[in-house]
Amino acid sequence: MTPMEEQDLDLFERALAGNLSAEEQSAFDKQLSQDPVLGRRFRIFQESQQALQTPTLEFRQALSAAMNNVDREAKPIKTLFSWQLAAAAVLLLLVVSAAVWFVIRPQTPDPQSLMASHFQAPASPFLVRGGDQPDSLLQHGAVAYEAGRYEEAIASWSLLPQDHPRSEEISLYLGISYLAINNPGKALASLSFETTQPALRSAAEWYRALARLSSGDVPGATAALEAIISQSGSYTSRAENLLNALGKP
Amino acid sequence: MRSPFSDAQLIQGVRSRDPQVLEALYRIYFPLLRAWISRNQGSEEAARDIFQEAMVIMFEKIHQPDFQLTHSFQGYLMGIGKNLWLMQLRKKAMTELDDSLAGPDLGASIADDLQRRDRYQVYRHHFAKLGETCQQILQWFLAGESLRQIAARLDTTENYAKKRKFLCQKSLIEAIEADPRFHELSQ
Repeated sequence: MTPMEEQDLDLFERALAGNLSAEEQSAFDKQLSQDPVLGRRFRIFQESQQALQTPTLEFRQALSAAMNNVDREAKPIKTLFSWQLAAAAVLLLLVVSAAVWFVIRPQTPDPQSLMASHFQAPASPFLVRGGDQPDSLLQHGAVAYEAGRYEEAIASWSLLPQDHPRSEEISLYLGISYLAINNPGKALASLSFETTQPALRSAAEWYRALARLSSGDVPGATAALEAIISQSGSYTSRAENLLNALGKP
Repeated sequence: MRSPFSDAQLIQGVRSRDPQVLEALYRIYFPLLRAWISRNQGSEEAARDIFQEAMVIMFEKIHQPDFQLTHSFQGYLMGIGKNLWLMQLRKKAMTELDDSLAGPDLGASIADDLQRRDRYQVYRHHFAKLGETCQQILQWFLAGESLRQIAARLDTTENYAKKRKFLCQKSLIEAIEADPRFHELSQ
């Protein structure tokens, strides 16, 4: 394949900017119609500029925020449905009747609170501090992650190619970010990656256990925590504490 | 529920990422899409993903230099969502579908939009594989910075900045050109 020349790109830039004279434009059109390789490269040049200039990432973030706002508003409205009112009334009765039971018996924290009290988002390994580090999707996500803007981090990292050299670490931190925004389903999916690195595997197992807990799957979380304890790794003591808190010493 | 915005206001709102318009679109059109997807073997979460993707395609379409809305906003958005879900179902070889979702048959027009979306993903994939300095130089260039500004950022001469920019663009174009997915998506 013919290598690209600098003058081709100069021509592309001037053509797109509308800076060709009528004579140059006519010659360029003729060249494009006669030279399929040049035509293909001009198309790639033109479309890639559009693809990279269109602020799709920012749009995804804005859309995601809008959808979350509506979902948050919609939750109380749901209780207006009559069957839900009936269910709520039954639930209230059950709660009232069980109140004495809760008073006289030590309460076991609910899985969501337990998960929240044991979850901590660790610092990501992607952020290069100081120096003149150029921005990139990986860095953009890392900055957002460190600032607690997990949805923005997810949006950035999700655009990275699957065969990225750091794809396993990216999957781990994507999973942690999903956990942080309380989306255990997607967290589990992200954390279910294969790896030969023991540290990453242990971390993924721990956060998978938290994701199961967050989704209310206490038996699944318990089994995952027992597996972590049996391996005696760096997450063992955390797993033991959480298992104790679940009332399963 | 009817949209309180005209199609022109919706387009402008999507283009400018106006939260009020985005929330209105989600409130009004997501339930329609979710109902259709749930009748066609899809979950709430799948419907959410499809809605988001359909909106992203709409957003990218609106940013096309030659953009023209040839159908109603609702018809187009529903058409994209429906086609996206059909593509997913076909991948899973599920074919018996309820065909009642409102919206014109946009056939070839949507196929072009979906193909362009996939080509854009190929471009972004190769962009993300460039070195970080190359990514940054191209971002500065696309943001309209002059060679003099780029040279100053790199603490170098304009000639060197021009050469670096050319090499980055050349790497990107040649990598895309060598990707079989680009050729499949250009037919």
